[in-house]
Amino acid sequence: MAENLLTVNNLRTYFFTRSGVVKAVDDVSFVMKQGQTLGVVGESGCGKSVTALSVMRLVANPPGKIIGGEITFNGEDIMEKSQRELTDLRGSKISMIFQDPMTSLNPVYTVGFQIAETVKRHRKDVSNDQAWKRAVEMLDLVRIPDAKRRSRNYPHEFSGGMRQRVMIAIALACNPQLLIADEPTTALDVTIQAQVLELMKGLSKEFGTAVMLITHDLGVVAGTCEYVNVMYAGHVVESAPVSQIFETPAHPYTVGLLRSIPRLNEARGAKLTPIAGQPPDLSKEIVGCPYATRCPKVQSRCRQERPELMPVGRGEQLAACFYPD
Amino acid sequence: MVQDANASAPADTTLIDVKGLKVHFPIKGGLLGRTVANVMAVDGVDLFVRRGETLGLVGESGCGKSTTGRAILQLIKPTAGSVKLNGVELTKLSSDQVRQKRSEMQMIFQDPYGSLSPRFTVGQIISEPLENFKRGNKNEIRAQVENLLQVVGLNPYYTNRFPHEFSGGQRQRIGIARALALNPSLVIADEPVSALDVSIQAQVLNLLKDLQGKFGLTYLFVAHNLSVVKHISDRVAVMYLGRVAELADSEELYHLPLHPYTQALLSAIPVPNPEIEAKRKRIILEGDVPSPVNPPSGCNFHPRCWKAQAICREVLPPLEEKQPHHFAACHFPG
Repeated sequence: MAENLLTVNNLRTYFFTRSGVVKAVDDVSFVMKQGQTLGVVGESGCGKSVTALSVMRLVANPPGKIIGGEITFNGEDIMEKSQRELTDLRGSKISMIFQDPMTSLNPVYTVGFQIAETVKRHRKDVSNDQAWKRAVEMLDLVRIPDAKRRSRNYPHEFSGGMRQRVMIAIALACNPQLLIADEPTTALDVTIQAQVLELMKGLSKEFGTAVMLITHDLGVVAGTCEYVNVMYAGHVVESAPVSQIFETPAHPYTVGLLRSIPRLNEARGAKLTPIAGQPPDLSKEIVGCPYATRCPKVQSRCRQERPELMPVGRGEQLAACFYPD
Repeated sequence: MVQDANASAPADTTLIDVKGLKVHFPIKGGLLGRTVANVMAVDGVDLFVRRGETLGLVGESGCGKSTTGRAILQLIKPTAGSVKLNGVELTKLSSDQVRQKRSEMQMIFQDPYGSLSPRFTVGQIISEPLENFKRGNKNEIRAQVENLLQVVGLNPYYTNRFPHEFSGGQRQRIGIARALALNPSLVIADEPVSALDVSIQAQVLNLLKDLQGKFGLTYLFVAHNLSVVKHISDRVAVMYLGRVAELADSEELYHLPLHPYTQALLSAIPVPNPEIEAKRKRIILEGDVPSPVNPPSGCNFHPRCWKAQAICREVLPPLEEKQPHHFAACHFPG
């Protein structure tokens, strides 16, 4: 069995705003193994991005603050690290790619420079020439045609899909053990999304990089991930291997999500079953299960106690529900 | 049997008939600010929408689907071509006459935040079209607004609230209520659910379907998400680089796509089922969509098409009926 690469225990990240304390991530625990692909799904505001930022210790403070929990990466305690140690870690052992490839790249430097910069920051023994060679090699690897010439181009000279591939090149330049991809294809068209996902899948397999893929698209998860965490209102409500999430979803929220997406293979005129109501306001105190107000299976116990993530009796599948399916 | 795309549109059931629609945006440059080039956003679109049906318009960003929608409503003046609503040529009307026609055709916008004025209450937003077209006195209008709110599933008690007090899904309902206020026959919905989360998206899609049944609305549903478009549409038109590549009954289009671009597009959609995902073969298109400033010669898809032959580079394939009610613009369909 592969070793645990990342362990997150009881993570709490709160935002202290003028209108109150927003519990963006509230008691989240999960484990990632070496080389594993973990999908984190949920709707806007469920805490999936804040979880990722917390792992990188990139939550803006103020207003945000990690107020509790443990994050262990490769046996090292991330919470105890100094800013300097964190800067050494970011980009070399853990890398991140963001949703918007235009604002994540610096418009006044060539893409080759931006890749070489990352390499030089983390490898002190590398010369300028070697770093630039590595940059061209990376661009070639992410299938930018004519990489040598293109490395001298600026971000605005690339299309959206190509910019995202440049981001992937920067992120993978130092062979990280963990790649966190926060909605990497949301801003891209479907045909380009297919290109980028295919590339990410191939590269992570080739280099044995573990990937945490944050997305709202269940289709993307089905095609790319081995393991899935479903998040709702700052909590992980279900955690299971990808096949179980889709075949035997246990948490009513997962069931609801799967029923509300239109499918290509559904019969004509079929009606969607939406989830009633709206997600709760995270700046208000939530008593009991956060999904209780929208849940079709709600009982009185759900309104009083918050269910913990528990095995549902199907192998590795866990759900935070008193009455799982 | 090969027919012209428009010949099969029976006149009595057609609500919107678009022929040869072109919208070119000039690029000004140089010292004198002359037009140096044109962005050919829409470059010869033919389609028709039957009364009471939903026509889905899909394509990737920059393919001209939104511009087509706006040009039909005359929100953007078309460069060339004809748009007929109920047999009336809209492109020839004066701006005043177009304004009068707007009561018959309304639009729902993508961004539920940007499309509602933050200074207006919900009541003011929905009553504005009613007041502009003098549909009753103050009390009648108020009653209509409350009725409309109820129809879209909002509490009539909300009339005095401001848009910022609502969530994205609720705002989109307000936008829908405003579009329905004048009892239009045609509603153009431009990416109405793209900004919403899946659970809320399903609520709005169901609402749009219910309203269509209730009021006999005709929808032109513009979106990039093919699963959503298939769910709501009777027929679907696939656009690529300013032209319609394929137009067919939605079931048929998804099961037997004829145009290579449609085939690639369908194969690129991630399916929420790991078993299907593991087995399916993807057609991964090479490269990006070319610039609409300088579109490729002949068939504009040929640089990315794996079936391209010499003829594709030279001759523009017309949109033809390749199978009954199934139109495609390709030299080698199937």
